[in-house]
Amino acid sequence: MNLIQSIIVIVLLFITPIRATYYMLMTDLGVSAQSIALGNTHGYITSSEAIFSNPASMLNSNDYSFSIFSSKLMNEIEYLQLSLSSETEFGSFGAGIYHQKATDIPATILHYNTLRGLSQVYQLGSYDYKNALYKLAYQAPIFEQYSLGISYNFYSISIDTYTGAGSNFDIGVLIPFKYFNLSIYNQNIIPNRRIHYSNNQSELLPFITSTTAIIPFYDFTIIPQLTYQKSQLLKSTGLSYRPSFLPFFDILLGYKEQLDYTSDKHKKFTFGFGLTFFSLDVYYAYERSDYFLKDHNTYISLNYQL
Amino acid sequence: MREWVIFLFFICLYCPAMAHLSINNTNNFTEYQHFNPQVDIDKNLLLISSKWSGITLTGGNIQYLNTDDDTILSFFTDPPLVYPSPLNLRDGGILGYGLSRNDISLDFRIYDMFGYEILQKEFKPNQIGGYQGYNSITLDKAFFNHKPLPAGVYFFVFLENDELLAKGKFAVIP
Repeated sequence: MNLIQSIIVIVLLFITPIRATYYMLMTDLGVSAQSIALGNTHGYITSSEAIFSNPASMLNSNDYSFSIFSSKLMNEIEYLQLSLSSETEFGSFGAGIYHQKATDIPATILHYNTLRGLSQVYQLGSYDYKNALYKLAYQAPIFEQYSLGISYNFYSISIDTYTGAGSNFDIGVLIPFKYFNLSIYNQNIIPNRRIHYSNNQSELLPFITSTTAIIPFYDFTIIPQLTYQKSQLLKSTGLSYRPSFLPFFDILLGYKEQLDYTSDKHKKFTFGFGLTFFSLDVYYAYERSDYFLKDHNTYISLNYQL
Repeated sequence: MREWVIFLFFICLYCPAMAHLSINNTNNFTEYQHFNPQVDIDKNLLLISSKWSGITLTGGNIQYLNTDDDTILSFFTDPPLVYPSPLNLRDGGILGYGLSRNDISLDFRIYDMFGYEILQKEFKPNQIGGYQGYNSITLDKAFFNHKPLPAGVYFFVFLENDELLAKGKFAVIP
């Protein structure tokens, strides 16, 4: 494949429409401890977690892969990700669920307090918030050297008695160059797809595009990334160090720019490490938290590959 | 010896006498705790001074007589709650809570589900959000600086001098 063909592939992936949105993707938190420790970079993960990142990177996964990722932020919000993938002669297939949950949200009423002579808010029970992303992914080699991945996303959200649902597709490629690999990952590529709620309201699904270089350098891997999301350019960088004298141990560092729920940009440094025991990888990630009552967020993920 | 007498005199003069007096809603005494339980309360006592910070009503509520008294702690008499729940910003809502004092300067912060602080406001004493008694804050697009607020759960804390006074959460729907 020559240079012109490479440019065509890249351009085709970039020309998908970019739309503003109000729907918040929980995967923006990061899809695994390894990914978070590397500044939420895509294209480097080779386990089944790749279905929540660039599915084209399943190219490097083993015959069978199973991953679990979990965290609890602010002692309130539970995050859980389960995924599995399998490599066949027709390509790699993967499936997974990413779950976000918050409980005991006060249900309230407005009642007139005759003693005070004003209306007052009272709690009358509680309810839960649940958000889930279901993924089906497929990866296959194209043009001999390239890897193409595509995934189907089904979004489901429930807040008290309100429910919402919607779907879209992600597409990604992994292009090998002489000194580095290039990952291009586009999320929600079908424009104007929405999450439709039971109260006849909707939120647009955001189009996000990320371009990542994966550059091996001795025992290091440097992973710079540019992401375009909600009309903002976000820079991230990951650094992985696997010493040649300790091949089962990874030190991970990351820097990321990330949008919050109101689309304001935040900058963060992340840190983590990974340990490999035979077929099991254990990853831990740490980052500082803004939350007044908890200074840090910690994440753990496990990958089992056969 | 003389120094000791002077010292004890000042101790007696300045140490507050700890007593507890309860009355019912018709102002009749219901309970009495003597300054010094070791002494027969029928003996005459010379009351030099007294300072009452409040009375305990039969229902268990505390009625404060002097709200400027530093002995009254800063706390929420009514927990912070958002109505309606879940909230949609098109129609707006209110955040209601009660304060025990009229001199509390509140630092209010809201966090999203990633733990990022998305809003910070200050409620000053005797202004909106800082009154003694019940406060109702209007939650609308202006309150959130006209920023979009996607569906999700938001967490808030009320601080006074970097100390947590109250916390809560609310959900938002589109």
